[in-house]
Amino acid sequence: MKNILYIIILLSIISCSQEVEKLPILGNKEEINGKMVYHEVGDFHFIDQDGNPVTPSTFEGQNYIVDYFFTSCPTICPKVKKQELRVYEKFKNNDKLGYLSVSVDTKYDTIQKLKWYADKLNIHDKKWKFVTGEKDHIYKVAESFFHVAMDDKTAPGGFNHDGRLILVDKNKHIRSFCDGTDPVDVDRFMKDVENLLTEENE
Amino acid sequence: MRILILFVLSIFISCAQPTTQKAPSVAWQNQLDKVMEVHDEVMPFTAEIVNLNKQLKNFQATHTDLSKEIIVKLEDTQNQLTKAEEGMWDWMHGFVQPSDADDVKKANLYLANEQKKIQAISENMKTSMKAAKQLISELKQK
Repeated sequence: MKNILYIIILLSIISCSQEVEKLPILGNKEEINGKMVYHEVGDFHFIDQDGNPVTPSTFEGQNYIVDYFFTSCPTICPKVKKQELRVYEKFKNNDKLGYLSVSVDTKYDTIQKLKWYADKLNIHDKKWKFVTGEKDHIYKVAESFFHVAMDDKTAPGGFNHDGRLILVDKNKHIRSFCDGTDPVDVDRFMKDVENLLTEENE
Repeated sequence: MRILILFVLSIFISCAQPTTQKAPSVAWQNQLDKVMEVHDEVMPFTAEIVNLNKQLKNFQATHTDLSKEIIVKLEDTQNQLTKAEEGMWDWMHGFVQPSDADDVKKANLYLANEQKKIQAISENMKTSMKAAKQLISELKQK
């Protein structure tokens, strides 16, 4: 009986001391002066659904999930938004996680339209920014967010209709991404988000 | 008694017969899928169009010694790209997916018309991209 008790205690200690798997930093990296320098997402300046400016400082001290979308998208975006809402529901009480949904339709997705869209999704949370901006800038920034997710790096574009969700940490590093149309891949992504949030609490 | 059983049985059989009228969503779903197939194929090209347009714009901005002929060609190609891209945004903005409440015949007619529109948009996008790539290649050789 005593031996069994010891085994139980030992097993509990082992299971409790299991470390959370640290997520890798994705993207290009190079060694400069003996120090590894990782890809960082570039600067951006957008306007959100309430007409407020959104820049990297909006997410200071926060991790955030990025996706590119447009409100009139008939096929991919509704599927992605459904999955993204699942992620949001799971982590909505965590202030260390924000959301950045960038519209690529600069012609029709005005601030009012983005507000309408956020309302339609029942998102009334300052942590989720639906943004628009200057067209060339939106596409330039996309390259910095999505370069890790493009399967074929010789083919420019495509990110505006491939439904990826990208996880950026508070140091501007990309830590995970998934196919936002695939519920199984999104499940895996949610575990990565959880790991990142846990890793930062340790 | 036998007649009564046969009568009740015949009612059950007639009720279980599948209706020849399909549910509306099924009746136009194939047509809708065809429209969206074209859309999904060319939609990712919008990013490439923006990229090509930017390359042409930059070329024009950084070369002050261009001939009138080249300038016209550059501007025409940029306009063609812009028009092709905008065509897709305009189409998506105007497109309304039929609902189950709609008349099936009308829904199919609407979708057949949308099929023609999206096909034309697809052609415009591909043609404008081809022309832009060709021009960029020509300009690089000069």
